[in-house]
Amino acid sequence: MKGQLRVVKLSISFFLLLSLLAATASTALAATPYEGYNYSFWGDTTPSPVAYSPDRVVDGYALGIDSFNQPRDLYISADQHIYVADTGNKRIIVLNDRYEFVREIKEFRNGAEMDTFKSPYGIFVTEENDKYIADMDNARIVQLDANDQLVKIIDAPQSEILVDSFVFRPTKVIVDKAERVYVVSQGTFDGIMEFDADGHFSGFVGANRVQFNPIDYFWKTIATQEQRNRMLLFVPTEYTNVDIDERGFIYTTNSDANTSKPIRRLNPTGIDVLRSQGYWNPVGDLKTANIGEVSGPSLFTDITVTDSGIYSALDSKRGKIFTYDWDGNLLYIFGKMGNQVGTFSTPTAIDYLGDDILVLDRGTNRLTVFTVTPIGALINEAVRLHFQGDDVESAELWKRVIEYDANYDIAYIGISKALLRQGLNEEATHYAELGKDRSYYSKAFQRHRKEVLRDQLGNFFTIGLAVILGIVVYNAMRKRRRKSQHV
Amino acid sequence: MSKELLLFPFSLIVRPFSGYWDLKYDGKGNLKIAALIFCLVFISMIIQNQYAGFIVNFSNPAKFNSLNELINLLLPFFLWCVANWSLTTLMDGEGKFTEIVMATAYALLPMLIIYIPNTIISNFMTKDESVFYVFFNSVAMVWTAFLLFVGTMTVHQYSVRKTIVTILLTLVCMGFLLFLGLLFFSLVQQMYSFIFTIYQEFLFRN
Repeated sequence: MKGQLRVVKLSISFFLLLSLLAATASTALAATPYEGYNYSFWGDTTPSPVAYSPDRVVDGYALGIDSFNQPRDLYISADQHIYVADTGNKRIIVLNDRYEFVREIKEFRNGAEMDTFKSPYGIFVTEENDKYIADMDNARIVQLDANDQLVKIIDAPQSEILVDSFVFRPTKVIVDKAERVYVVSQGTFDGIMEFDADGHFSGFVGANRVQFNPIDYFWKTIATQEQRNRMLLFVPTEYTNVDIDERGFIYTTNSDANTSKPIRRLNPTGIDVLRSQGYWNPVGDLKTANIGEVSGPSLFTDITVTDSGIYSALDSKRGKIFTYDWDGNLLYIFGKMGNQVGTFSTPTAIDYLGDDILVLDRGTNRLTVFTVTPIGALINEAVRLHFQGDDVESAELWKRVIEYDANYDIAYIGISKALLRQGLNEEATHYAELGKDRSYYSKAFQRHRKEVLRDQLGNFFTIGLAVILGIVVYNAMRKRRRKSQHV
Repeated sequence: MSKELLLFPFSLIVRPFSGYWDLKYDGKGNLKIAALIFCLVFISMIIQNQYAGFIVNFSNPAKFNSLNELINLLLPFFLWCVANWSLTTLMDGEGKFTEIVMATAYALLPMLIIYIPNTIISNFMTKDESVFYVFFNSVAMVWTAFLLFVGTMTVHQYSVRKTIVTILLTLVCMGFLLFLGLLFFSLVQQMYSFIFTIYQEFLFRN
């Protein structure tokens, strides 16, 4: 009996092992449902290996709870817990980093009685595990501490700088290290609302400028007053989402179709300081159709930033994730609209769990987990090392990236930087040219030219002197011969 | 071809007033040499496109087409000559068509003699020095424009004011020619497709 049981146990474990192997083999071979590509220096799309592949899908059923209902936001806390703002079900779901259900936050004690959320649109968790929840239809921000006890509620602000028609509809919330709260409010065009640590409204940050199409402007100038009244107003667009980086700078996305800067990095005074040293500005897709069902530039709904300055923005129009490094180089693109695992219907939120990228889909009510592929891991690590200033180590990884994808132009720049630091100027010019980086080429070339001149100057003078001497001697000899002929 | 004829364009570009006078009245111009200059300028443009230093060279080698490049040079050249001739015959110009072609081709010579050394030097430039490259290229342009101006003035025996007016009108006329050309081609295309459809209809009926 006992022996039989053991055999059964063994065979089960063997089977499990086998299926596991088969699973890994199949995921390794399985093509992703989307194509990997990038944009070259010339603005052309170049096919490239995918940097992230879909790993798993997490929905309410898999967690053993009710299905999500129109979840709007996702936040991953410092202790690697996943917070999902399940807006339609009026609750916050907490998962751990193994995608297991931990708890839900549905109600909290407010004074004497229990209070609930009406529509939790946004969630932010601080390092102390304080939770800030943007409860839109209740027009308030709720702050709960690590034990889900109410700390404070930020209600609709009263201020003379707000217009009379102002309605507080908070959708996204972030908190900096000084506990200042930044809120994106739907229908507000003046920028991001800033509240101090006590919850008092202190003003707007980083208002978007009015952007308009020159053609629209032309029509507006020739239109009559009556026609003009019926036209759309030129108003600055609202921010769609915000994130905050290590240094307290705010990354924003906005819904403006005409802007050249859909992604911004605001400094404390609200000025955009996003670096765009890449081949192209961080705008998402460069080549987009102007007609058809899906037309126009990328429309970002969420952005997330890592410690090493890498940020990923989620394009809700085409279901793509664009990842840029600190300098604004486009690292990789992945994702697509569709019904397969790894594609989206209405992607709404994105965040990093370690190196994994999680995307929340409001349409299919599920969370898709993308894990990094070997080339993606190399790129991430190379960028991280470069960000930390270790260019030489970084170059080793870039060399391996090129083995995967010889069209990965940024890698050549990385190698060039390391070579320049090592003093290998001629090689550095070569790699800078491959990476189409003119400023590094120029730097390396200047040093290389100086070296060559210094080395060859002696030879140059020697040859010059020899030539002059030769001419003098030749002339003297000719003169002498002529003289002897005369005589 | 005599040595004098070959060297004449070089003396013309440095002394354009007497040069163009000699071209018109002393018969020192030569259509073969004009064609040669044109070809060499075309080649020098290709060389600049392909071999200019990395720092100043922004052309995509994957999309480079020398025939397109030829059209880019030949079409404006041809349009200029035709438009200029058509206008000046009506505006008491004394130039013949061959003289206009020669004057225009000879005016391109500065491009040739500046582009090639500039291309070589650009390979040894850093980013800060690349302004010189741009500067010399602009010098070539301005020089050519000046020669065109003097050429038009001398060949047609115009005053300065009349030359300016003629040049401006020539540019407008070039636009008209281009427009008419496009119109013609699109009409021909439509006529062709009309006839072709009828032909197809006949085929399908049988």
